[in-house]
Amino acid sequence: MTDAVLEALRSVIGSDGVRHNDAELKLFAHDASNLVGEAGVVCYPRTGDDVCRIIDVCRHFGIPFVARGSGTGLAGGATPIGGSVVICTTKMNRILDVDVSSRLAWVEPGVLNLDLTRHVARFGLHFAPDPSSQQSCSIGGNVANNSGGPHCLAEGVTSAHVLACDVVLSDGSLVRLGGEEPEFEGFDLRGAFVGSEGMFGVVTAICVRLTPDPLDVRTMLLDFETVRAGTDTVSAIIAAGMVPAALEMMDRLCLQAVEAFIHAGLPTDAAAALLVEVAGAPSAVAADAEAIERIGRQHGARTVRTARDEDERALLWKGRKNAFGAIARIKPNYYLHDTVVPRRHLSDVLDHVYRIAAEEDLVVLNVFHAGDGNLHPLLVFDKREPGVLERVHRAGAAIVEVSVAHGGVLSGEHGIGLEKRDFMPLMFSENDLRAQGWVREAFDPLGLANPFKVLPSPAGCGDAHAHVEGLWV
Amino acid sequence: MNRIDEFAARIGTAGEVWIRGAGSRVEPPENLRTVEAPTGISSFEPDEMTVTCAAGTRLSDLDDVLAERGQYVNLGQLRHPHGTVGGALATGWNDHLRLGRGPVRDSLLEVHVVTGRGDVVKGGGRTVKNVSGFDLCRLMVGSHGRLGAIAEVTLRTRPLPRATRWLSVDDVDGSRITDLFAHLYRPSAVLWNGLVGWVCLEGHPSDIETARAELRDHGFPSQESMSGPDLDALPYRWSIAPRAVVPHVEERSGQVIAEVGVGVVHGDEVPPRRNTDAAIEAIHRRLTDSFDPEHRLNPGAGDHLIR
Repeated sequence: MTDAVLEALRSVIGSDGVRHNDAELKLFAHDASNLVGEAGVVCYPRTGDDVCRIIDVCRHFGIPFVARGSGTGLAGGATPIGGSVVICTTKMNRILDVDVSSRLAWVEPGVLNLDLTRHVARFGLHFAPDPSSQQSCSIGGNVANNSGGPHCLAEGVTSAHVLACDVVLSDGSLVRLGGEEPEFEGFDLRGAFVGSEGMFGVVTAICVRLTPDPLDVRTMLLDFETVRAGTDTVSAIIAAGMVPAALEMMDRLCLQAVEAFIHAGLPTDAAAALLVEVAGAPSAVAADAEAIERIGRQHGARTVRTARDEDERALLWKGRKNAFGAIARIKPNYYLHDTVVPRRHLSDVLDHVYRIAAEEDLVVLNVFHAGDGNLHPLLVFDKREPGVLERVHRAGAAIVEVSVAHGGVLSGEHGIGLEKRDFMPLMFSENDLRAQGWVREAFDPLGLANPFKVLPSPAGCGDAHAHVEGLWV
Repeated sequence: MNRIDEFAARIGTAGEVWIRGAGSRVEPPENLRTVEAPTGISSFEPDEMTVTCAAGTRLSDLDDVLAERGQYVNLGQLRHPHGTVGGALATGWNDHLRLGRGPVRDSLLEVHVVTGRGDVVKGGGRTVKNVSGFDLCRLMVGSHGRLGAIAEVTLRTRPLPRATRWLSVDDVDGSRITDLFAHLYRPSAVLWNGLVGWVCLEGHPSDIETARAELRDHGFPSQESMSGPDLDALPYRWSIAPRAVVPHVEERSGQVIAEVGVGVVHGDEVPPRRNTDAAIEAIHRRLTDSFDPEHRLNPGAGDHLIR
């Protein structure tokens, strides 16, 4: 990064908002994935105007920029390439407005997901998308990735909860996409923006929909002797006309790891367990819970454990949400995958996942959103073992390929980023990808917003694939 | 040749063309070549809660097939029961159960369109959850076919509610409507004309009874209503922030019925034209120039919305 750029950035947002020391540059060279790029400088805007000014400098010098929230992304979406300017939104963390009667809130992008839910809990409301990282991930990051979470089965992913985004485009203009009003003129640019992985612009304020807390909740744990019995139960529940609030599955190895960690009395001898939560009005909850227990038993559930109180419910969820902490007891490193398959193929695809892991001599645990067919195979390893990363990457590629071959998709909630960029042709034709490039160009004709991500042959002129350490293929 | 390619061949690569649905929402202009989208449901998977069909499929045919397995798809049919799947998506018009059922745009999982260049482009995927690539589906909903002619779609279905009931509540003025709304747990609709509130509750019958009793206890006795109010007499839709609904309804002199919590206000006055931002217009122009460089698809459709 040249002194002229640093000086220009300092002059527009102040010296304390511009960081260029080795420690920070190294820290911001990657997100929570193992894909390492190169940060040129890290900027901490405090306002939307600061973001405009930073982007003006980037445009003046022709330097790409990468927006970053908490850096919890798992697909390299916030990994800067070739010395990009990192625009870190952690200081833009104010909840600007809560309209309780209309059930919406305006927040800055750096507000943490769970902080918003905690803030509005006193009004009996919450923000529905609940990624497992919700204690640390930012809502700006949720918008960039169109994030999901266990409770998105019934409530939908982030896009269904975002009404408007204020966005700075690469030409420096600040635009409002969508709005509090329900119907707006023209194309749904708000819808296009959510999930654009930072490649369309930088969001500076977000209007989100808040969801009323359920009147009643029932949380159940069903365990099975085979994985197939568990996945068949999932399909049968959906086919019976129920959409539970959450429908999560853990396999044996995962149950064992989690039980050793949290001592919740999980069935460690089961092949798989389903965590089912039904929520809503009391009679509907009671009827659904009864039907789910019956369907579970018809499909061979050995036990059906219903949480008796909030403590037990919290304990069961703690097992699900802390699975990633638990696996550190097995091996020090993990690689978490994210594909979606039609629910009916869950069992077959899981068989393939076990086979692929065995062939690469890797340990695999599965803890995932079974209700939407969203697999999360977790490959655990010790990166000090020679050659292990190659095996992990080979296994990952095979899992993606087998998922798509079963009618699935590349990613359910983590995004494409750098991680799966070169897998996009598995799902999309050249025409499809070119059209996605048109949308990017419409928002960012200069190609400065987070280039080299998502699209395998970048549409912008002069784009070339920079080398990224840890990238697949 | 499959039906999508055959549709693309009929659209061709040159000359203006109008994609004709049932004509129930938008009349085709005269003297324009028209092409109809293919029809038919290719797969309905109740245990996946997805259905794949061609864009020319009639909404009523789709509703019938889904209802046999206790499901529906939200395409705004309550207000616009006729027409085709493609027409419902291209307009993206919502009905007045949006508060509970969500917007039409959230129903589309995968779309195949024919662009103005004659290419077939797919966006999204057939699974209920997917963030692979940019969201072309949401871009197509409400685009009036100006970016591409919708050929085939996969839609997210939902279980039909166990029961649906409309209630009406008298003597609800501006000081009471917010209170009425706050006492309801996830209603499917709350409509209000300044004096009368109409509430649509969906779910388990005994939950609906309980909700009705609680309303009464809070000073909102209700009557059963066959359906909601008649909106057909109110041809115009205003779109305002939900928090602006109460003052808006109180200030209007003509007839209005507002969707509380949503912000659509049905009325007999023409809504004002909104200013659009130059930067937004530039994005629109670049999108249209890429997807349909000669602006040959559905010329004029949604023109007051899309420039």
